[in-house]
Amino acid sequence: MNSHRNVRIQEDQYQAYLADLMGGKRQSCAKLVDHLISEKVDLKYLYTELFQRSMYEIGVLWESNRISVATEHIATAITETLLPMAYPLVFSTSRIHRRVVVSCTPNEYHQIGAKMVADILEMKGWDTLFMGADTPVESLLTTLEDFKPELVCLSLSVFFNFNALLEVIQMVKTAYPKLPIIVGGQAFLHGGRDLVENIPGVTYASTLKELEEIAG
Amino acid sequence: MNDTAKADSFWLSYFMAESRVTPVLIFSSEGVILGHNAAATQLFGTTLLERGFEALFLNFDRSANLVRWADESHCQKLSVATASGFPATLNFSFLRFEEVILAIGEYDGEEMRDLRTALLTTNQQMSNLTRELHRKNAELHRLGMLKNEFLGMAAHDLRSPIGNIYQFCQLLLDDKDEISETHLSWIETMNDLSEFMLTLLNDLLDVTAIEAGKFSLHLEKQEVCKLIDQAILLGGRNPKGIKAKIRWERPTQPFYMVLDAQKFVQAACNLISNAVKYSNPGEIVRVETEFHPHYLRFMVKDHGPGIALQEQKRLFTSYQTGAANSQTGEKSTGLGLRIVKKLVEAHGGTTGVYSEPGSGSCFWFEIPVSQTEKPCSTGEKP
Repeated sequence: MNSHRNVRIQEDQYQAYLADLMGGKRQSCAKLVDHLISEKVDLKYLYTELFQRSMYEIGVLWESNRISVATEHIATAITETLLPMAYPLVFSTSRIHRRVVVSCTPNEYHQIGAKMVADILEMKGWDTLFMGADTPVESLLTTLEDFKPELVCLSLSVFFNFNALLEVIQMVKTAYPKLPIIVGGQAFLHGGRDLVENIPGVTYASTLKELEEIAG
Repeated sequence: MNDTAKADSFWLSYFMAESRVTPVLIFSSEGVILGHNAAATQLFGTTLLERGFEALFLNFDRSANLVRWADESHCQKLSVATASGFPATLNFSFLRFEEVILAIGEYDGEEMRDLRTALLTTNQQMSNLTRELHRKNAELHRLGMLKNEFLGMAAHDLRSPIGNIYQFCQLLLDDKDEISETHLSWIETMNDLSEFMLTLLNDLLDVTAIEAGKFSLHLEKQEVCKLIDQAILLGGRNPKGIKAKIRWERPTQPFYMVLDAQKFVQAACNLISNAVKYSNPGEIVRVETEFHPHYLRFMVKDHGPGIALQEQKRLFTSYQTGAANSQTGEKSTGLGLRIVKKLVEAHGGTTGVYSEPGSGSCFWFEIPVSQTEKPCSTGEKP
């Protein structure tokens, strides 16, 4: 994969990117991403320091009513079109022959965090199956039956969907008691960590780095 | 005015003045707009006053009847031409209010939710398809590399025994007086075939190395005219060893460029030997060079059979040869032009061909002068 790990995003570059992201200027955002990839930026650094940082910041701006949901959706949509720019590198790593299903809970429409989780694990050589936003638990269970993963990652961005997450965990645990589950997402900033960590076989990952370490 | 009428009037005023979401239009009984709120202006994006009902709504089947709908307090799904140019569909409620008719539009919330869900689902499917596409691309790339590795190994291992066969054929042909005429013709065929196989293996090794990215350029400042002299010397003989007629107006001044000398000569030589191969004995092959401030253009023109337009597009891909046979009967590996293209592209250049059936061909490449090294033609090596 990319070997040069010293490429860094300057603060002014980041601020301009954030402004473009909220302003709907996809081309400008893509230009920076293209430049960083051509400079062989470390992909995990790109994911955490550009994509994740900017989406976290946009989430905070939305939660504090400083931007509208429309602006948040535009920024999300743009970021989702930027992720595939790294895919030729993301998917070129050697396989480690381990399978993981990454999914959002029912009613959870914020899928970008889950997608980044899938990409990070893909970079580590996992074969990932990304289920995306608002995945009905029945679909998830069918996929687990077909894909036979050794790990499930569940993402939750909005705290008021927490009960849906607990229901999904319960149903997955009933069907596959030994299948480990990693949970994470912005929703946990508002609490709930103890609720999931009390369930045997469920681990909370607060960052992408922590997720990597737990997944092994 | 009684209390109910006052309340109605209040709500009408509210909708008329305040609502930025709910478009409200007031029609006369004759269907002419008497008033509207800001949301209506935003929706239609045009002057509304005194316009007729039918001018605003898309009434394809002519079934709209404003007065009847108002009398029945009818709710009707109607499409309108919006300011953005896209039609929009709203549920309009028609109410009679004293002497006027109110039309209050509402977006269908359920439909909007369904639409959002459909968009999300589509987006998710697209996203998964994109991931799958990239995964398959990466797999294809891996398989391509594996194929190149295998081809490279096979070509490398075959080159030695085939080289031996060729050498033995040469030894036998040195003693041709002791061989019967029939056997001599067989040995000559073996000689030609083993020579072709060696060329093919060398081309395969070149292509696999190039496509696997296992070749690097040794860039140095070179005198280009001397390299072209070498290419003409190497490529200017046909397979029977007969020297072809090659004309080149050699510049009097030397021209220096930063490039890989061996790979430049290989590319130029391939174009020249191709031209010789497809020319009749005695026909002149012209080499032309243009030394521009920012690039070098190298051209080889022959009077061969020419190439049809549809064939030209495939020429620079692997294993493609033109429909015409070479004048010497020599087989082509179909890799030569692919190698030229890759070598030139490695220098940041481009390749191409101009040709018409019956009028010969002009194969060319251009190599840019390195951004950091300006060309020098003063005769003094920098």
